[in-house]
Amino acid sequence: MTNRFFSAVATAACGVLLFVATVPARAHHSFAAEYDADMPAKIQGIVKKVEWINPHSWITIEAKTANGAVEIWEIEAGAPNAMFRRGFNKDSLPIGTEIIVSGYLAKNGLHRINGRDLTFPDGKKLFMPTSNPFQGGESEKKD
Amino acid sequence: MTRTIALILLVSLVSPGTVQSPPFQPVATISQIMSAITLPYSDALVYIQRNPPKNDRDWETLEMQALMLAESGNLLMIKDRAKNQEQWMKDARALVDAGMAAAKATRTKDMQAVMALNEQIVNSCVACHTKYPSGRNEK
Repeated sequence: MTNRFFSAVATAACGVLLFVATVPARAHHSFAAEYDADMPAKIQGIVKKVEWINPHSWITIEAKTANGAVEIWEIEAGAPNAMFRRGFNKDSLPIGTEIIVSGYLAKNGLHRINGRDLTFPDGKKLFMPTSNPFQGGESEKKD
Repeated sequence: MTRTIALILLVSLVSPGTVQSPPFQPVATISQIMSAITLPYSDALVYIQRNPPKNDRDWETLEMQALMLAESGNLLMIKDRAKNQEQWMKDARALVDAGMAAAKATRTKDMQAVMALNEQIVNSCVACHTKYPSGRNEK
């Protein structure tokens, strides 16, 4: 955990808008299997690809670090229908759109985030329903 | 006399005393099976277009993943894991069927056929999770 914390902070120091803070951990099976509730993150980048797939949509973004290096990040979002109910549509995220995404980092260290909300260039914010324990996107029991 | 002996032999063959419980011993929780087998292997199938097979070896790997997805449904049916003999078994069987269908599609190396099974695979997950919410403490 410590190494991953410093890794995340180091990434932020490199310029990628990545915010990490400690929050109480709660259990949630599918979320907990892949993502770390103790590692919230916020990242800004350019949309490179959007995949509307069940059971989870995926948004791939390109983020630049302070030294100009490019990092590819994958955002796990909700099921397409759930996203559409939240205000998204298939034209919401054209390639090249700059977005800011808040969510939780993957446990395996990959550049992957379980998305919570997404902010557009005009400041409009949309909520991304996923298997996230803090938003009740799925009806799984918390223990 | 011969009839009596035959009847005794027949009764002894079908008596409950000769039936033994399967020697299964569940050692993992349902959540552990989900995390280690069902989730990653179903991901490989439902997100196939995100990481499409590039060669025969990739397709063979995908077939094995589909088979293991199906087998994870069998693991859910083992005594002490099965929450009941009706709906639970039906849902677990749906997972087996979805995995078997996916395995069949991978043998033909037909990506469109695997993609077409997305709904069947996802539905088998959703149907069961809707009725049986998960929790890390379950066994």
